[in-house]
Amino acid sequence: MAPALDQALRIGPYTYRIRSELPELAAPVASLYGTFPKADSGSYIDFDVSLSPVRRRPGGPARAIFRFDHRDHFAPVERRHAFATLEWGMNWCVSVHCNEYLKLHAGVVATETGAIVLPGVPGAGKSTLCALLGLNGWRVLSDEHALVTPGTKEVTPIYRPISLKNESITLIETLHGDAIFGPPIVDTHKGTVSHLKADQHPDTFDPAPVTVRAIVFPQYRADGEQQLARRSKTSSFLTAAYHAFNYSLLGTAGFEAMRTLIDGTPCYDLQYRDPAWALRAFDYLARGDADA
Amino acid sequence: MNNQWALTGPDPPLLYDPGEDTVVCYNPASGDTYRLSRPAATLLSQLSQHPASLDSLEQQLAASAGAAGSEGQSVDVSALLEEMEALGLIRRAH
Repeated sequence: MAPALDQALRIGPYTYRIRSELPELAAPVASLYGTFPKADSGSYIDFDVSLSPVRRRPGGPARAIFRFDHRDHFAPVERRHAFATLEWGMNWCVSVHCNEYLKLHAGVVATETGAIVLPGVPGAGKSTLCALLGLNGWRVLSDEHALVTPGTKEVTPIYRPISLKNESITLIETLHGDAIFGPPIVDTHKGTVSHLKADQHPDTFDPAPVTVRAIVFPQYRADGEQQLARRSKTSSFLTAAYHAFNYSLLGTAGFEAMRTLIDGTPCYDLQYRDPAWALRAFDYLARGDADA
Repeated sequence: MNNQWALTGPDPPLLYDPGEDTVVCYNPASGDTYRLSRPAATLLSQLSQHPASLDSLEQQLAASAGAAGSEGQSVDVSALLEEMEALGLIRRAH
């Protein structure tokens, strides 16, 4: 039987082949990935990923499994979580491979003045900020991975749909009623998840690296004080290293790469609760006012 | 007898000094990264050149503080050395 889904897409510097026999994946992939550049026939495939149905346990829900290079790496999931699992699996491919870069767990956004890297733990609000900015004229390079070329201050774009969770979905839907979302996926280990198409910027799929002009450590606080404050370089270095997927793995090269990234790059703490305030703060950073 | 101090590993720690109160230190022997006080980083830099005694390190740190215009600030060099020993950055070389 022909798979319901089989396509090879250029995603940042990599080519993914995405296959699935699950017909319910065709629509969200078409909606969220339909504008992605297709890989040329015969292209080298970096990540061959698939979602396949697996045998249902007696009395249990329908299940599916993510595979990378035809191998199982994770336990099966409930089939209703298949699209979220595909997205997480595609993130995982980059997180555990691709050590030609120093990889930070971070969102990355940009204007014509350069890129701003947003390292943060899950829940810090980096994906929400990426969504807000992406729907307000900014370019989203990633909501998950900052791929930093060692020895440079450059990040390589690797745009994919933005993964929003719980209240963030409602927030973005309220502010941007015309935003395009994938299906809401409920009862995941992160609650409800939905993926936002945020590739409206004309340069979204430009693969050229972008120079980092600032690093911002975001923290969403529903009832806290809002502020954008300069942060020390040593603190920024250590926090960014904590948020890196492969800083320790790279050893001395990781230290040198982080030093090059941090040194001379303005670093900030951003605490926010109001989206409009946060957008103004980022416009301020993009103009370079904060460097004055 | 005045103990000699030396680096733990064959490769000197790497330092990132952005000119703030603290310095980032990477220990290639362990792969660990630390934030050090400026006096601790100065001691480590001295030991990266050659093993040294407590007396010698105290004198060098005082000279460094004087050059930086921060003389008069009391630093317990022995305690700093023991803290860096506990981190595995340096060892006693009798």
